[in-house]
Amino acid sequence: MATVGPMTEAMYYILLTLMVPSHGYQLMSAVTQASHGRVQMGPGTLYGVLTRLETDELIEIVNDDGRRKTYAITESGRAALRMETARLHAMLDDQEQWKGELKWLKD
Amino acid sequence: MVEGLEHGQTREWIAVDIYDIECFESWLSDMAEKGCFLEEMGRHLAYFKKGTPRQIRYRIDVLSRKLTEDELALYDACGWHCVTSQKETYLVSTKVRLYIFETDENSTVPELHTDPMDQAESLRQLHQRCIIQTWLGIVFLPLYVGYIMYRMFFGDPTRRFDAIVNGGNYLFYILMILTATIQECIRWCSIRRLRRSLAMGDTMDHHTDYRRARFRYRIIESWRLIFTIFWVAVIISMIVQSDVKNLLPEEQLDFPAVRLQELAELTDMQDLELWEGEQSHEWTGTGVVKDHVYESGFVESGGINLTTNCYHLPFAWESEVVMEGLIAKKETPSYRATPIHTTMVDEAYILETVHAEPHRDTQCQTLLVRQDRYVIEVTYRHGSEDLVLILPLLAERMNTAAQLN
Repeated sequence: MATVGPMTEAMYYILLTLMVPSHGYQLMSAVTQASHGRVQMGPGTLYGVLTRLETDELIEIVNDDGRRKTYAITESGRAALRMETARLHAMLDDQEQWKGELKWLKD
Repeated sequence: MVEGLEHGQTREWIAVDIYDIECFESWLSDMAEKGCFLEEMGRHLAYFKKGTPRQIRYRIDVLSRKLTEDELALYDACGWHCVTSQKETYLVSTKVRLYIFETDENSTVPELHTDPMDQAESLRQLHQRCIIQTWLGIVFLPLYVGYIMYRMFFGDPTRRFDAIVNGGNYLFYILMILTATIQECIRWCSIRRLRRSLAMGDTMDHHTDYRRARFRYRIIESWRLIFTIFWVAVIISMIVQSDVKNLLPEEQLDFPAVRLQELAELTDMQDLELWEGEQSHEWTGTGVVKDHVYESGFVESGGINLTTNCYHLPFAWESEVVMEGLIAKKETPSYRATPIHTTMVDEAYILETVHAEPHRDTQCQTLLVRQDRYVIEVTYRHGSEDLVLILPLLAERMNTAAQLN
């Protein structure tokens, strides 16, 4: 498994939505829904990210009937998602703490 | 433009390298504005359908696998229609597919790639292939040239002989590898520049000015076309100029040689009855011209034959190498070369069988003579006459030929 650094938005949302196995079209809709319409993913970005996540073994194909592939997150993918979520939380916490420091200085 | 085979279809030389993605997309958009819409693409030609000019967005998607029908349907559902695809294969490892998609310029569909950093990642494999291909060329080309130089200047005499007489294809391979390496290097730079720009968060400029890229690409493609045409012309010329035909006893030769009849006169050979004769002319890709004549006859003791190979070389230094190579090829423990001390020509050797009592069937003499850019090999079989006796006449003809050419 490749070492996963900070994820792009597309990677994060795809991993998140693949907690429920989906194929391409479902995935695109799920990402839009999960991001409350904020992330509109182009098909090029979608398949590019899917290919890379599959190569890094963060996702796997659970069904392939020749026409349609269904993807799902792997255990490695879940671990990577947890790490990324923790990183994002840590950044938010740092921001809150820093805002607190600034407020104290002003006072 | 040249009119294509199908009604309403036209074809054009591809103006820009597809690896120069921004420029290629820009070129296709400009073609659409002229009423030419891409339908298919070959290596060098693109086929367009003529129609009403309009503005079209073209996008190239680089993938490491073939898209399924379902996946293509998703692109279509998102507003991106697949025009064509091109599979790229490389010397090392996997294939890459370049898909060309189109949509109307004024449509509100989202871009094919909505995240520049992810798009930069999608170009990683293409980038790596370009790097590998470039380095393979950079490493292999000097090794190959070094190998050829070694064969021509330091290898054993027979290999040096082969390199000079038969080495025309080496030049072709060197030029081909050099051109491919230069193109891969240009592609590498192009993809690297694009990836860096995307990784910084910049989006692609799909209407970039492609004139420089077009000029560069045309130089390379024109060069490749010219030297391919040249080499085909060389091969055709070699075939056309190379011929084998019967030789009549009274027929004159247009290269220096001594005929069997003349050998008979010089050596007081009795009752020679000439049989068959054959001559051939061959022009090699290295500029070496090889003339060959074979004559056979009958004397009282039996059949005899005389074979002459005349090498006319483009450079005088090559004649030394060819001479050395011929000696190395011909000489064996029982067939030894002895230098002939003479001022008539630059160099001469006689090779004779060294058996104590040579049998007529194994009797063979070879005279090797070098003068200026000519090397002549004369082989006389089954006769006991001294072949060296033809040297003065042969030397006179070689000197005349050397002065004329």
